[in-house]
Amino acid sequence: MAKILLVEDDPLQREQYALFLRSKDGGGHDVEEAESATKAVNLIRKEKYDLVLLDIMMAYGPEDEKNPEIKDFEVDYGRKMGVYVYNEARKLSKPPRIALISVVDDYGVLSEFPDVVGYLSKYFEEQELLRFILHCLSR
Amino acid sequence: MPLEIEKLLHLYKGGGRPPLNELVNGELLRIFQCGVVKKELASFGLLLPAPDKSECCRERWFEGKFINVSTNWREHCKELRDWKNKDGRNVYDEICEHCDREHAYIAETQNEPIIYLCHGGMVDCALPIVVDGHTVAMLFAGQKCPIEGGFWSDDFIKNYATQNNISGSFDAKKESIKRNRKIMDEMAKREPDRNVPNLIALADKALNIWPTDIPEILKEIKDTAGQLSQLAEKTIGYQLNIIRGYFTSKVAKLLPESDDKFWTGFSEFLLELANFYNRDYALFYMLKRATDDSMKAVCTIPEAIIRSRLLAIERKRFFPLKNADLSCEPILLKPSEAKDRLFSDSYFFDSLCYVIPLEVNGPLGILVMGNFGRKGGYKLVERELRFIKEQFQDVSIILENRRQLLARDAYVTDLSHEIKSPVAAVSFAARNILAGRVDLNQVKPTLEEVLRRLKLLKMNIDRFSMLERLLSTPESLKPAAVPVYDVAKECQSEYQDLIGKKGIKIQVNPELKDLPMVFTNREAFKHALGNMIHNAVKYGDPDTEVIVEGRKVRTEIRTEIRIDVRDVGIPIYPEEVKLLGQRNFRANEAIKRDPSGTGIGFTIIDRFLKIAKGRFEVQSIPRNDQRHHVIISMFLPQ
Repeated sequence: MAKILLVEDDPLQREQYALFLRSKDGGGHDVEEAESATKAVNLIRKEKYDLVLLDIMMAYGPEDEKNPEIKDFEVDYGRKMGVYVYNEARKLSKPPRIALISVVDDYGVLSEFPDVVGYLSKYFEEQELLRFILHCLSR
Repeated sequence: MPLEIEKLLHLYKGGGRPPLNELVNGELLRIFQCGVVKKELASFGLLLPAPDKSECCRERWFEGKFINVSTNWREHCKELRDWKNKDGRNVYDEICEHCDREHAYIAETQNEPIIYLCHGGMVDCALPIVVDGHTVAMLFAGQKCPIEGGFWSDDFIKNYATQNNISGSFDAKKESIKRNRKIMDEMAKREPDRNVPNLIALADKALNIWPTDIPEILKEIKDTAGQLSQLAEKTIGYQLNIIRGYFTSKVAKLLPESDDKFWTGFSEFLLELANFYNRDYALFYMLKRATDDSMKAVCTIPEAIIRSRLLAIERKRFFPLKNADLSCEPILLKPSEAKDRLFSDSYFFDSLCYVIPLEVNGPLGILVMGNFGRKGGYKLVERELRFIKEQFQDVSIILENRRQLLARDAYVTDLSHEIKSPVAAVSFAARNILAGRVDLNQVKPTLEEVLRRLKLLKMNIDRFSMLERLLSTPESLKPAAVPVYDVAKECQSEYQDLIGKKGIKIQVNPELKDLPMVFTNREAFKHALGNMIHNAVKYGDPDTEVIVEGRKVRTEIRTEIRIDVRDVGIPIYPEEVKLLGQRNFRANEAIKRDPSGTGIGFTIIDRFLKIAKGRFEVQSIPRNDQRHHVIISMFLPQ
């Protein structure tokens, strides 16, 4: 059982992935949810996670709009939130493992996230997600 | 780089300023020899301007090189100019030349032929040959001696000029005549045997020549200049097109590259361009757009960026684009060489900076090229500016294509996102419910959310399908009389369900009931109006209202039905209005607001209105809190 932070802006997807991962079938992981980049960064700075599952294409959340770090941070709009979380996590002395989930079937995006332990393209099935988590935790 | 291009770049160094001297000399001489020189009764001289003649340091005479080939100089002139004084100098020749240069300067300044009385009392004409605004040569014709050895009077010369359609008449400068007299006196004193010619000695045998038909000569010379002009125009045009093609292809090759590679390549291109135009720096500001992350600036020295920012603050008129973001980091290509001079020079940017706005279907960006601290230095002439603009027109089209290419990628990504995300969520929800992982009291809300997602999915697929119909088979959309109010109410009920947690309320004004019906395709109209409402919801602030209202408007041409959709939220700037019809234009804003956008809403509205012969207008009125009242109006024929 691992401690996982699930960063996903879409509430339905976030809830359903989290439900599965918390269940016995999904490995019974300790899953925390973050619906915005700002919340994710705050949690990563506070807590220690075995794995951060990060959606790289996220919309601005209400908290993000008030976050000056995001305001000053200039990246391609689509992946801005994802890159922000990734960069902030990498700044920690002991950064957590980060794995990406995205709708974009373009592995070229990995060049922006050189230290990630895995990349999973949506759409995926339960077993695929399970194998992916195991793979990431073993890295 | 091909040798031909290298040669051309070298030849045209400094921009579009044509190296006419090199280009036309051969042709000029050929035409000169074949044409006007055949006239036996008139003499000619040709003066080619110095290639490095610049405006800042020019004297009051025409700088350049004389080419006096096959000229029919009058004997006395020839002999005088060949005469050497005791030091072996062609003194008289120097004075003649000086006189020619002075009058050539007047002719060049006036840009028209002039007739004048030279320092030796001869009647001459100076005819500038102007090609594309540049004096490529100065032709001298004349050497008409006064009748019966006497001097022509001023009045005679003036009348002669008027009769022969010559713009101006001038006398030689007094000091020239004075010098001339002095030399002639010297000659007369020193040559008692009169074997060596001087004007007085020659008077007996050569002075009595009647003027030939100067108008005929002038006509021939003008024809020659015309031919030359055409030839030069053609050749220069051809050569400049090669250069233009070279630069354009450099950028075009970058088109499919990734962002990093594209902008690195683009900066190299700009550096080469700046060097080509002899500029210290070139800055390119790209307007912030849907798929471009920010403006790009490239310069050859960093101070250009700093100064341009100050300039932007001081003189906003140079940067009329509201969205222009000057905060981007420049890509520096060369260490500063002009730091010490910076800011101390009041002429900085004032006389040497060219700001060229770029447009393709609306504003695209700004190109700034300039030099540091060269007072009154080299200015671009009209042609060069035109050349830069043409050059950048090509580049702008490429940038616009790239923007559209990226927009297409974003469109595909969005489409994928719109289909995959809800399917993934719904699939997981179904399995979670099936496996009993969802609390019983959570099953209903989960199912409701699933239903909302599926409705959104259906709506988005309908949108893509409608856009495809509007684009490829518009004839399949049959028109009929459509009541605006009914359609607005249908849109209200559909979109109100989809708003979710944003808390925006859609209100349809009952006055719409009183509007006459519009004759259009109901389905397409509903999509267009629905997208207007959805856009207002997407860009509107939470817990505000989106109001749909309408009225009849009479214009000079027709009666229109105006339908307004109002919201309070993210502004639309005037320069963006033209671009709204492009896919994903507002997508960068949409991502901040609501992930349900497809980026094609305005494309559908735009396309529908084109087919329905309608139009749309946008008003964005600022409030105190950086938000805007945004009113998007659709005008349809009654």
